[in-house]
Amino acid sequence: MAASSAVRHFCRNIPNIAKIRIPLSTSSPLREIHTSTRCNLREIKEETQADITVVEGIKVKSDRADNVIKDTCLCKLELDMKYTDVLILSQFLRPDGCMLPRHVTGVCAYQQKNLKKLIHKAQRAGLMPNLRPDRRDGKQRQGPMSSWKWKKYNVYFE
Amino acid sequence: MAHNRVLQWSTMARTWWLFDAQHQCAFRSASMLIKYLQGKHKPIYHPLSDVGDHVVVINTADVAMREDYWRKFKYFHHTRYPGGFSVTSAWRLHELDPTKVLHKAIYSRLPGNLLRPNMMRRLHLYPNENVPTEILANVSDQIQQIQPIPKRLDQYTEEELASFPKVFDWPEDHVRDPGQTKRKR
Repeated sequence: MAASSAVRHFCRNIPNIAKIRIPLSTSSPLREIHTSTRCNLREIKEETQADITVVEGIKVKSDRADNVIKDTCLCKLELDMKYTDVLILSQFLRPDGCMLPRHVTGVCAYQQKNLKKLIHKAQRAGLMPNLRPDRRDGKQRQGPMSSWKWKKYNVYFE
Repeated sequence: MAHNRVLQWSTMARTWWLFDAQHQCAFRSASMLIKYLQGKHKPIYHPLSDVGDHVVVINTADVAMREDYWRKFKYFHHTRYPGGFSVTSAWRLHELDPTKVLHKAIYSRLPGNLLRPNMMRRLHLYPNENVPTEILANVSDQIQQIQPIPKRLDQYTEEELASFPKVFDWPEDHVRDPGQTKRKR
């Protein structure tokens, strides 16, 4: 997007812009330029019917709405998390294995750092093989562990 | 009194123990297994009396090591000739012989007396579950594992994943892009 780079350049000239905490999506100079509004949980769908392509943003009801703990910050839950708690750690990951940003998950800075460490340990121990980034050389992964030298053997962490 | 006599027989006899080394720390399980090889779990133990048991260890190819000890832990050797020094990493030794790491860990932890070769002969290491039947026929009990085997995310069912409590809900302005599912490099 050519427009976004221009916006970024514009922001660099204003040093105070980082101190103001505005959600990125609503009314911020950091917002990417779209032809339609990008509010509410939406799923993008493309339909092609004989020369006409319709791109729709459909409102979707959250699948985890009934199962959410209300106190969002992890500090309040006082969990003794380990790297083996993959059911908790996998909630903070995208399907490609990247960590979700803080403005989506709502955790504090300390917990984000802690989660980063734990997720790295869990990936290193091969506990989340279906939530991993692709290999850099484009080859398919063989099994949960890496196939390279010392990385193919089982590890554990304290 | 017959019962008491049988207890004595079982104490004097050499029991065969089975230990599954799947996802167990090689060094920690070695420290635990030497107790059985020396007979320290028996009330009649004495360092000069040879009362140790047999231990059959399976799945030694799947032992675990802490953090990056597979790369950092080294085995040193010198042939006593000039330039005869060699260093081997744990992962390299494990690649050459998947029973060697556990063998060396147990050997180095046993006391260095004349009983040690006999204790080592009572240790039976197998890289997988293929154990000869004449050895497996002797086994009468198993040793409990020292570390829990962690469950992988793909081993949970979809119901378990869905019913597990979620820490946060998606924000209202979150866009779930199907192109985001697998980012291309």
